[in-house]
Amino acid sequence: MKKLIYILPLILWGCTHEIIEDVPQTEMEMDIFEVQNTIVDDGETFKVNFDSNGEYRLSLVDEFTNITYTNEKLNAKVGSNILTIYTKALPKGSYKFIIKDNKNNIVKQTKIKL
Amino acid sequence: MKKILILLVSVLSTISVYSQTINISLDYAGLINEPIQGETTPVTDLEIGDEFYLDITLSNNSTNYIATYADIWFTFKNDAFEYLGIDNPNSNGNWYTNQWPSSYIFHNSTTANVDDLYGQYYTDHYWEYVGDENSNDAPMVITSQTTGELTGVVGRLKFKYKQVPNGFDFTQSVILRKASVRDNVSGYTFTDIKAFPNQSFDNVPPSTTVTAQFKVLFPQTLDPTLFDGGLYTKDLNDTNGNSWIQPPFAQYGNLSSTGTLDITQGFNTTDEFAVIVNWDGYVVDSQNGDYVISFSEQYSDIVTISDVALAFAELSNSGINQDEVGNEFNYGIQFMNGDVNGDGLFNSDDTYRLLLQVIEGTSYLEDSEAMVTASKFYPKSQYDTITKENYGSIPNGGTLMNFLDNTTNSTLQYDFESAITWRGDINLSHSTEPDVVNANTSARFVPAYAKAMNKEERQISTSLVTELVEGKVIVTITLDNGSQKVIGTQYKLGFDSSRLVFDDINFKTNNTSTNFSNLKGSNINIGSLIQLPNEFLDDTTTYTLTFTPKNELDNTLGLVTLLTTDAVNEIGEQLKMNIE
Repeated sequence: MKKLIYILPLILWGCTHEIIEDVPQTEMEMDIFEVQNTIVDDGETFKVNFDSNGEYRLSLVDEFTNITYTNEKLNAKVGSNILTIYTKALPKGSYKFIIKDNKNNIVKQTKIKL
Repeated sequence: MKKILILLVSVLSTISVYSQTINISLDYAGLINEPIQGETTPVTDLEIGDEFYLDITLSNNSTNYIATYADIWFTFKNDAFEYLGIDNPNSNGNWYTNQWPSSYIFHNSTTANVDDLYGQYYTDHYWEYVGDENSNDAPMVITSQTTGELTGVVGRLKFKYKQVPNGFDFTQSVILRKASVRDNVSGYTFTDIKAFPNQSFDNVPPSTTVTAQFKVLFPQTLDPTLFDGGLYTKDLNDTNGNSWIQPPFAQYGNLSSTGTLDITQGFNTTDEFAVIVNWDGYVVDSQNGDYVISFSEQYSDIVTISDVALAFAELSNSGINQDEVGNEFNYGIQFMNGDVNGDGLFNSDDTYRLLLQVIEGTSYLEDSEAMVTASKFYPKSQYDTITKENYGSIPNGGTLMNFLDNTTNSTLQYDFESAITWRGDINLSHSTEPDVVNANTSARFVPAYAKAMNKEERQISTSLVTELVEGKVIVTITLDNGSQKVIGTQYKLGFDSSRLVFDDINFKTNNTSTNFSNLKGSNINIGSLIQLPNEFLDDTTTYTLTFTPKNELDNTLGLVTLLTTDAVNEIGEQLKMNIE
């Protein structure tokens, strides 16, 4: 009888639902301007920090031929901006990813691979 | 003294007993059916298909014993030879013969020399079964037991040369491996049997040493590795004579980066041959996965707005009396390429079709994915003889065939060169550059940009910018013509059709220009052409395209890209657009 008293709490504990704590997932976009030769997938997001609000020009330039395949005109806010890169229309290859301000000064530059 | 004499006789007798040497030799002895009776065709003249004798010559230096029994083993390369049997030149004996498949390798004895046929026979040689794919040599044995002596030419092996790949290794095509010879009358086994003077037959038919290389003289604007090809010969089973098949051993594969194709295998100097070159388009991309470029995509780079402009220029510049030709075209091949409808004339109908090809993508090609409808090949020597005067007499149909002149028997190394050109490639931007001797150079030839000497001055600028405006993706293309008098532009854009739907395009160009745009899958072809004199596309030229996103977007980076561009100035020069 004494043994049953010990076992009973164990049985009751075994029948209770397991409680799984739902930890909120935070998307951690990387700053690809802090690294070189990042391999980028279609639809990937990344973080860009700007020192000031304003119009910027984002360019993807083939590293070897220097051909500019696309430019985007972007109105960015000061601080962190989350952007998406779309690669389906771009030829595979290695690109210089350049950001210029509205005075045509290069403010950020890195290399990415598609 | 008597004892000494007895001893001497005894020693000499012993020596003579132990020096009973048999030599066996393998000797070429002419064709089985000599064309001239009584003459022997030199071994160096033997060719594929010939049937010939290899004689087994047996010599015996013994005075004490005669050879009446022989068991002789060979191996022969049955890829190169067909064994036809053995003739017996002696009336008093028969040869037993047998051969095995080439599934074995003969391993020589570790204690006997290779030419020591007795040693090989009686010591530790062995046959190893390795399967047909791992052995070239078929074992063969001939055995004779006669009532008379085996001496001189004792057997005549008959072989026939089979068709082999060029460069085949004929070393030791037939080789003596081991032998046992006995005097059955005395019950004596010869213990010194040598392969001498000839242990093997190594002759190489000259035609098998021929080498042949084919090369397409690609311009730098084409990637030769995107093409494939191979050697073909007429199918003799086709009574119509229109079918071509690859000959035995011929290979098919991609051209090298320099445009060469090794066609040695299957090639000879007697059959009729052609090399077929076709579009492959397969791109190996180990990093991102292989993909295929369609032929129509390649062709859209070959025929562009600068070809159309040059074609119009040639037609419109017919001199004061309107009766001149060749004021803009310098080569006959340009007229041939301009004759896109294939009626033998280059005229306004062709320029109209060229224009449609560029601005609407409405191809004059019977099958826009089949290279044969667009490509033309000529032997380089013929290509360089095509002039503005004689081009009408040169075949001008699309083809993949490169017919080879292989009838020069005095050479064993063939190098063929072909020029490549295309229907519609007026400025020869993707064609072999002609080197016409004594060309009538009255016209100023306008080479494509890639071949231009004045590249610096033939550059202009353009730009593509995407932005998100009120939920739409707006693409703005601008032109900076610099000092050039631009009359034609062409842009090929790619866009992410999984995320965008193309709405429309707005042209801000010279009012006299013909503007065009056509959508093909996820590509858009846009541009302008001015056909009036003294009218140009200046730096106010702007193309604005509007797309609707399928889902809400925050930015547009990479959604629309510039894939290729082309431009042309008033004198028909192709211009390079630097994309900024």
